Order: sequence, then structure tokens, then C-alpha cells
Amino acid sequence: MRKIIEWPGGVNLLTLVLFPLFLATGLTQNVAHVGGYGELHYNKPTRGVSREKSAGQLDFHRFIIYFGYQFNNWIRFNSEFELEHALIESGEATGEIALEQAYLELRYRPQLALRTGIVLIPVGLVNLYHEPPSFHGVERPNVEKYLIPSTWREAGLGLVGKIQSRLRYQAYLMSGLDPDGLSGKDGIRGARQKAFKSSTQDWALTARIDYQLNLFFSLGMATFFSTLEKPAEYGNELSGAKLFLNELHFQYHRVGWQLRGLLVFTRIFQSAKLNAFYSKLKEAESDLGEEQLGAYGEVARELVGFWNPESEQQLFIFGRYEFYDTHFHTRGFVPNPEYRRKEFTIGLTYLPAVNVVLKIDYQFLNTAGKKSWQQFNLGMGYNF
Amino acid sequence: MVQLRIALIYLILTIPVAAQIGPGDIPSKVLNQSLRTNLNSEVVMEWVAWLIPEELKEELRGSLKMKRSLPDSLVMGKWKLGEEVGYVLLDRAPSKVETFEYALYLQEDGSIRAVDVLIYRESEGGEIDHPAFRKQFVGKRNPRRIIPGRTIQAISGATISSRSITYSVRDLLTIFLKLRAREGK
Repeated sequence: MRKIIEWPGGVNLLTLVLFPLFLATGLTQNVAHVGGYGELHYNKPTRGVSREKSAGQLDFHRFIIYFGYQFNNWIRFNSEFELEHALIESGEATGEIALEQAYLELRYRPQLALRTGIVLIPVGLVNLYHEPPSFHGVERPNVEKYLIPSTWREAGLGLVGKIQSRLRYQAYLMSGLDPDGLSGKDGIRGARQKAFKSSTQDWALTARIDYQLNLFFSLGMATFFSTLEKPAEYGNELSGAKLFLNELHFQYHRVGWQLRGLLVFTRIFQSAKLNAFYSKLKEAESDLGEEQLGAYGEVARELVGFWNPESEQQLFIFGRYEFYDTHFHTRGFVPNPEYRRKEFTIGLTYLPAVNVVLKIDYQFLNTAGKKSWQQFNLGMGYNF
Repeated sequence: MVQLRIALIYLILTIPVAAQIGPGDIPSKVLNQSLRTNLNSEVVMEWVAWLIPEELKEELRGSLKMKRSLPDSLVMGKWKLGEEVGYVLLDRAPSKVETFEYALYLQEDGSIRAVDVLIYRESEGGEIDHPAFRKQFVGKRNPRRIIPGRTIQAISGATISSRSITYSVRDLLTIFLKLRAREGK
């Protein structure tokens, strides 16, 4: 018999009896908050893949519960607890249970709050706002999967605030990336430590500002810096290795129209040193690029308004073009054309009610190399 | 599993619904600041409560978008500014995971004079405080024409709170107008 993950007895009692009671008491007093979001995906490669890989797949990709507690009128706790891919079984490569966010916020005034715990890295459009009804397409944009590895979070400490509701900022000091996880193909995705016994041999600094120009237009930029040295393990073998990520984004929403775009550029200093070191360590060729570049633009048009301007239902047709290259510039070897990707997604997003979404789209996923394929996706999502 | 089910049902029953509130729920400093900004410091206020009869509650239930329960009475401030009179209603609405409080200022004829965000707790979504967003409500008098994403454009970065305040204003205005028509006030 296969065993579902076992909880220690104490946790069991707490989860089933004490926690809901505590929560219910908090809820009735309006100091505790629950919420959540989730998404089910159906992905079916249609062209350009081998027969073995052409099978469609239904996956309850994410199931998230929020829990928040307000200690008083200026101190609160927020968290997101996630189950990915629906199932965790002991000893098998299956889904994952993770704390996506868990932080305390001490809000001294609207302009200044201290935040500490597991926080989202404030980079990109999707990483901070990743609830399924808030973006088009079944899958998140790939630029925000490979170049900005959403959902990207780490443990740390920082400041957040807003100035006159036009300018918002966030800045954090947190545990750095783990250079062991860097790869030529997936960039920094594997280097996230996710606050799992995160090593602080390397530290990261990150900051973001957003400016709301008027009702329709907002733009912002973010930066992320991490050292990649692991001095406690590797001595000074990787001295000078570090990573800089810079990102620009905008959003334009005007009745019926939604436009957004993002540009991200990452540079790894001492990439040749990292490659030489990891080729030896892992006994396999390390092909980390020195620079990565990615961008996307998306246009969506709402359609229900044409025939029923009083309806709260929304149906969008959208198109998104993405370009990203994890080998934009390499040092000492020829870039792999398979890592230079151009993707086009077209689809429909139907919101029958606020925060309920049904999605359908078709993706043309091309590389500058030989591999190119197409994929059909269906999805449902909710947020409450 | 039975325990879990009981706990879940208990949870669902106790999830807070955004309820209408009175002046006692807002720190007087914040409320006075809002009254000064949106009316003027000379304003004369009188707080009243209109009972909402059960049959009206039934009638209203189908037309509300955000509110899942109705209070027994609607608390409002009648303001007088020289010759001008109107109403101010205080309300609570949900943001992504928490709640926020806002004030709805009405003219005597029931059209919206202003919407003011009084207390916003969450770090995300506070953009609904932006004057350009709040200005969209001014002059609206038909609740059916207060539609998120259409007549009231969401402000980016605050999609959830934009919708929430838009529907809450719509609900509050619906309740107010029905009650006033009924009372003949």
C-alpha cells in the first residue's frame, strides 16, 4: 500500500481541532483571515514532440491557502501555504508542500513597514501577483519562469511602503542564490533556496519601485543582486562570482484593453570561473551563460462589453509574444541555440465571476535551434 | 475526517462578511480628516440609523454583488453645509486577505459626491486610494451603472481591491436608495 505523507501526532491534533477553533475565534473577531487560490491545468503538446511526449496531462498545479492574523492595528502576519501537483507521497518524486510566504509586518505608517520572514522577491509582474485570475494564459509567461523564477521567495528582512499612493517600494536583505543550482538551460531557477535551511554563505539584496502615473498606466523597475561564492564550502575558488538581475515593467489598463510588458537582463560575473569549477565538481560540462535576456509583451481585449455592457462577466482574447535567451552571451564557448527561445501564445480568458477563471490557449514554442513545438492548454483557476 | 468536516463547516460559517459600520468603528482622527477633506471643517453632522425591514432584506438579497449579509439598520451621517445637505456612509470591504474601511459621500439626490478610503491595511492593493481611481465614482447615481472594469476602471496593482470597493459602493448605494424610496425620506 502506498503511504500518503505522515503527520506527527501532535500536528494532527493541532490541525484538526485546535487550529480551526483558534482560527474561527480569530475570524469572528475579524482579526484572522483565510483565503486561497488554485489552478488546474491540462497541457497537450500537439506538434514537434516525439510520440512518448505527446500525451496530454491533467495537473492540479497549485493549491494554496492563505492565512493571516492581525495582532493589533499595525502588526500582522501573512502566509501562503502551497501544495503543488496535488499529491505528496513518501519516497517518490511527486508534488511539493511549501511555504510560499510567511512574514510578519510591522507597519509603522503607510510609508514605512518592516517585513521579515519568507517574502516574495519583488521582481517582475507575475511573481508578486500570481493568482490565476490576474494573468492571461494557462501557464505563467515563460520569461517569468526561467529568467524570473516565479514563485520566487526567500527568507529575509526588509522595508515596504507607499508614498502618496503613487509610489510604492520594497527592499530586502535575504539569503542569496545557491550557485550549485545554476544552469545554462534554466538560468537561476534551480538556484533558489526557498527558505529551506537556506545557507547564508551568500547574501542577496533586492529592491523594487512602482509608479502609478495615472489611472491607466503604471511602470516600475526592480533589481536583484546576489553573491555566488559559497566561501564556507569552496574557500576562495569562486571569489568574485556574483549575479545582477535588472528588470523593467509596465501595465496599461483602459476599459476593455489590457497591455503589459516586461524586460529583464541578468549578468553573472565570473561565469567562466563558475563553469570551470562546476565542470570539475560535477564531472559534467557546465554551460552557464554570462548574460541572460528576456522580454514579453501582451495585449488583451475584453469582448463581453460589446454586447452586454452591464455584465460583470468578462471574456478576453489575448496574445503574448515572449523572447528569452539564457545564453544571450557566453564566455569561452558558443551559445546553445536551443536556449534562445521565441514563443507566441494566443488564447481566451473567461471570468464568469470575479476571481473565477476558465482559460484556453495555444502556444507556439520555438527555439533558434532544432527543437520547436506547439502546445494546447486548458485551465481553470480561482482566488478567494 | 468527521472532525475535519465539522471544522471546515464551522470555518465557512464564520468567515467574516464585509458589514456596514458606524462612526465608532473608525478612529475619530481619521474620520474627521476625511470629513474635512471631502466636505469642510464647518460641516454639521448628525448620525442616524435607518432600520432595514426583513422584507426589504429579502428583496435586496438578489441584487447585491459583494455583501453576503445585511445589517439590521443602515447607519449614516447626515451632513449639512450651509444650504447643502447629504449623507455619508461608512463601510467595510474585503481586500485580498484582509478588510479595509471607506466612506461613501452622497448628495441629497443620492448621487455620489466622493469615495474616500479611510483605513487600508494590506501592503498590496492600496492604490485604490489614488485620486484618479476614486474620482470615477463622482456623479454616479444609478447603482446598476457601477460596474467594475467597465464604468469603473480597475487601477493596476489593485485589481482585487478595485473590484471589491466598486461592488461595495454599488451595494451600499442600492441599499440606501431602496431604503430611502421606501421611507419616503
